[in-house]
Amino acid sequence: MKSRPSLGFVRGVILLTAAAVGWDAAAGGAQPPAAPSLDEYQVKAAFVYNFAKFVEWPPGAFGSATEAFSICVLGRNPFGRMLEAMTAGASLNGHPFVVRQIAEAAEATSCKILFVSSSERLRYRAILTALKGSPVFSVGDTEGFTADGGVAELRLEEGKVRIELNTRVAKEEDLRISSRLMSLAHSQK
Amino acid sequence: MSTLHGFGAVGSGGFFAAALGLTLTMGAAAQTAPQNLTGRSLEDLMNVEVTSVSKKEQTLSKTPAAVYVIGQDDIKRSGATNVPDLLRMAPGVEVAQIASNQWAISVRGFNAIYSNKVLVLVDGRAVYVTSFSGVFWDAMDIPLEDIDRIEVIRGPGGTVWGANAVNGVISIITKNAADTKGALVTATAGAQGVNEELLQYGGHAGSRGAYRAFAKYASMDSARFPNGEDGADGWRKVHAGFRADWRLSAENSVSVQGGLVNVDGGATRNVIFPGTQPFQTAINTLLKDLSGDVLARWDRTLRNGSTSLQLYDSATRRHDAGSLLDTNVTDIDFSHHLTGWMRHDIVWGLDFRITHDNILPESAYSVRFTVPSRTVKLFSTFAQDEIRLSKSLSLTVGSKIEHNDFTGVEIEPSAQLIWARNDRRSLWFSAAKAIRQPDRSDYSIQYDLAVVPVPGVGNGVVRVLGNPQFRAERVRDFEAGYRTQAGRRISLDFTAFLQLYRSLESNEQGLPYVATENGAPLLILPVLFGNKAQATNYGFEAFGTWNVTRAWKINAGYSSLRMKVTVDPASTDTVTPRESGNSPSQQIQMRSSLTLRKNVECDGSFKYVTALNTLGVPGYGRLDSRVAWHPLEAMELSLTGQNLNSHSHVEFLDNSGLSLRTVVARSVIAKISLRF
Repeated sequence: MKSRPSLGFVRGVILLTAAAVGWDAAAGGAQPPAAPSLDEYQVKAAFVYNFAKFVEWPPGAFGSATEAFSICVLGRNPFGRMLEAMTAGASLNGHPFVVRQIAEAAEATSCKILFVSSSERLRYRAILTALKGSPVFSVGDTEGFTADGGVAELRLEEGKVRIELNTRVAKEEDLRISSRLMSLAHSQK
Repeated sequence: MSTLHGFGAVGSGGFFAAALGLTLTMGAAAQTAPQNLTGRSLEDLMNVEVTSVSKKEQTLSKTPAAVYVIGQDDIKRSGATNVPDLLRMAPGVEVAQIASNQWAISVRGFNAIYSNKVLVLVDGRAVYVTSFSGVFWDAMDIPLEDIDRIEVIRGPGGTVWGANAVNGVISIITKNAADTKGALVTATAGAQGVNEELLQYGGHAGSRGAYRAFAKYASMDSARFPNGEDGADGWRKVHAGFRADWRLSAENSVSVQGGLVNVDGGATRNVIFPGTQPFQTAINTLLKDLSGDVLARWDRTLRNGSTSLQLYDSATRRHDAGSLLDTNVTDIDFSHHLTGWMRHDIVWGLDFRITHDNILPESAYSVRFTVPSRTVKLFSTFAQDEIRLSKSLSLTVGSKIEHNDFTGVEIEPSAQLIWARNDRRSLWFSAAKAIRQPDRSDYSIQYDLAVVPVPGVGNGVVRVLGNPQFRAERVRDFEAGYRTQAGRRISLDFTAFLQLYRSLESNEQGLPYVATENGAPLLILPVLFGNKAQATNYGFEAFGTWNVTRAWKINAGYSSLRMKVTVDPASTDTVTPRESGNSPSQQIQMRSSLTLRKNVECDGSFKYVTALNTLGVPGYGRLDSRVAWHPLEAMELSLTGQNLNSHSHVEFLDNSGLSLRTVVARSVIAKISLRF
C-alpha cells in the first residue's frame, strides 16, 4: 500500500485526539476518499466467478444445453451473498449461473466449481476423494488444499491473491484450463 | 451470518463466542462496500491489494464486554518465552513477577501470588486451582507457537463461566491441529541460563483429521535477591503433549488433547520454626509439580445452532511450601446454542465438576490444611439470551445458577446492551453480579506468619487459620465501553468501570490460646479469615491500534484503577484496607511492530507501571525489543532484549510472606525456529 507516513501520522494524531474527547463523529467522516484495497473475500469471490471463463468442462458435464452452471460452497460461506450478487442474471454459453450452499461432498458431483471453505480443512482429503471421477473444479483457500488433491488454491501473498493449480488432478478430471490462467498460476505437479 | 458454526472447528472458541453473544461478521462485513469486480480481468484481480479482517477484529467488533485479544502475530513478535510475559501486553492486566517461576497476575486490582478473582482457562479447561484459589503459573506451560489467541476479559464473567470469574477471565485457545502440520523445531538460549527446546510434528489423522505431538524442555537458572544473593528459584521443565482434531462430517467435529508437565524447581520461602531460634528464617525449598490433563470435545452443528460436549480430567501432584498437594479435577460441560428463533440468540449450558484434593505436610514448617482431604462438587447451569431489538441494538440477559458445597446455591446474573453500527463503531453498557466461592484454603488452611514478642509472656506465633464460616465474596459491576474504527487504519477502544465489592476476605484477630506443640506450650495469636471488608473500585482503560502502513503497526494502551478498600467497624483487620496499594494505579504501554524488507521484523515495546505503595515497589518501566530475520521462509532467527532500560527491578512482594522476591534483570534471548 502506498501511503505517506507523514500525512498518516498527522491524521492519526488528529483522529486519536478527536476520539479521545468523544468527538469521533468528525473522525468517522474523515475517511480516505477512495479505498485503496478491497476485502479479501470480495476479491476471492471474483476469482471463483472468473474461473468459469478460463476452464473448459468435458462434454457431458452438462446434462442439457440449458442446465444451470452451479457454483457451490461447501462449509462455512465466507462470501456472504457476494457470489449471488456477481452471478445474478448471468449465464455462460447458455448455462445460467446458480450458487448453492452444500454440506457434503456427495452433493457436489453436479457442481462445476466448488469452493471448499477453510472450515472443512480437516477433511479436505475425504472431500476431494469423494469428488474423484466428477468434473468439478475445486477451489480452496487454505494451505495444503492442492496437495490434498484440490485443483486450485487461492492464497494471500503480501496482500495479493495468488493462484496455485494442481494440473494433475485437473487432467484426471478432464478439466481443460486455459493457457492464460495457467500462465498466471503456480503449478503443482 | 455465521456464528457458532464458524468456530466449530476452532474448538473451545465456540463456547466463548456463543457465550458472549459474539457475532462473526466476516461475510457481512465484506458486503458493506460492494464493488463490481465481475468485469475485471484475472491479471487485474491479481494486482488488487486486499485487506483481510483478522479473527481478532471480528471477535472484538460486537462484544458487549471489555475484551482484549492477543493474537498469533502479537505472541510471536513479543519475543516472550512464557504466558505471563505475554499477558503484559493486555491493558488493565497486572502482571508482576515475584521470582523466576512465580507471578502475581490479576485484572483490575487485588493482585496477589494466588490471585483468586481471575479465572484462567486453557481450551475451556480451568487451570485455577480451587484448593489454593489461584493459578500455579510455574506449572502452566504451552508451546507459544501453538497458541491461536488469548482472550482477556476484564470484568466479571460469572454468568457464563461461574464462580471465580470475578474481575477477569483469561482464556487461552490453542490452534487446531489442522493448522500445525509439519515439523517445528525451536531452540532458545539467553541470559540467566534461559534454555528451551521444542520438537513438534503434525500430520494427517485419516482423511478427516489432523494431529500434532510435541516435546518441550525448558530451564532457567535462579535469579538474584535485591541484595545480590542467589535466590535459589531456578527450574527445569519437561512437557509432552498432543492434540488431534477431526471433522467427521459437516455437522460433527471432535477434538482430543492431553499433556504431561513436570517441573523441578526451587523457591526461597520465609518459614517459621516457633520453638527454635531463629524463629523466622529464609530457606530454600523444593518446588516440584507433575501435572497431567486430558480433554475431549465434541461439537455438533444443528440446523438452528450447535451443541458442544466437553469432558476433561486433570491431576496434579505438587510439592510446595513443605507440603504435598494432590488434586484431581473432573469436569463435564454441555452447551447448546440456538439461533434463528425470532430475534433471539440463546445459549444455555450445564456443567458438573468434581474436585478431590489431599494435602499432606512434609516438613515442620508446612502450610497445612486442618481438614487434609476433601471431595468438592460443583453443579451449575446458565442461560443467556441475546435479543436483537433493532438492526443496531442488542440486549443480552442471562444468569448462572450454581450449587457449590461451601455456600450452596449462588445466582450470578448479568445484562448487556450494545449499539453497533457498520461493524465500525459500538457503544455498550453492562451490569453484572459475580462471586468468588470459598475454597478449601479459606476453610482450613493453616500456616505461621511470624513470631512476635508478647509483653509478659515471651513469644507468640501469629498463625493464619481458615474459617469454615467463610462466605462468598461478592461483586456488583457496572461498565460502559466504546469502540470505533477511525478510517481503515486506526481502531480505538475505551472502557470505564465501577465495581462494588462486599463480604471481601478480611484477616480478623482471634482470641489467643495456648497449644502444646513438640512437647512445649506455645502461645498462638490466631488470624482468622472473615468477610468484613468491602471495596469500591473504579477505573478507565483505553487502547488503540494504528496500522501506520501495511508493514508498521503501533499499539498503545492505558489503564487506571482507583481502589478504596474498607473494613467493618467491628473488624480488627488493619492489613486489608491497605490492599489498594498492591495494584498499580496506572499502567501505560506502547508497542511497535515493523516489518522491513519482507524478511526482517523489528519490534519494541515499553510499559510503565506505577508504584505499589503497600508493597514498597517503586514504579518501573520495562523496555523490550526484538529483531527477527527469516533467511529462508522456513527459518527464523530472533534476538530479544528484555528490561533493556534498567539493570534490574522488583515487581512485587508476596505479602503472604511465603515467597521471597527476586529481581527481574535485563536479559537477552536468542532463538532459532525451523519449520519443514
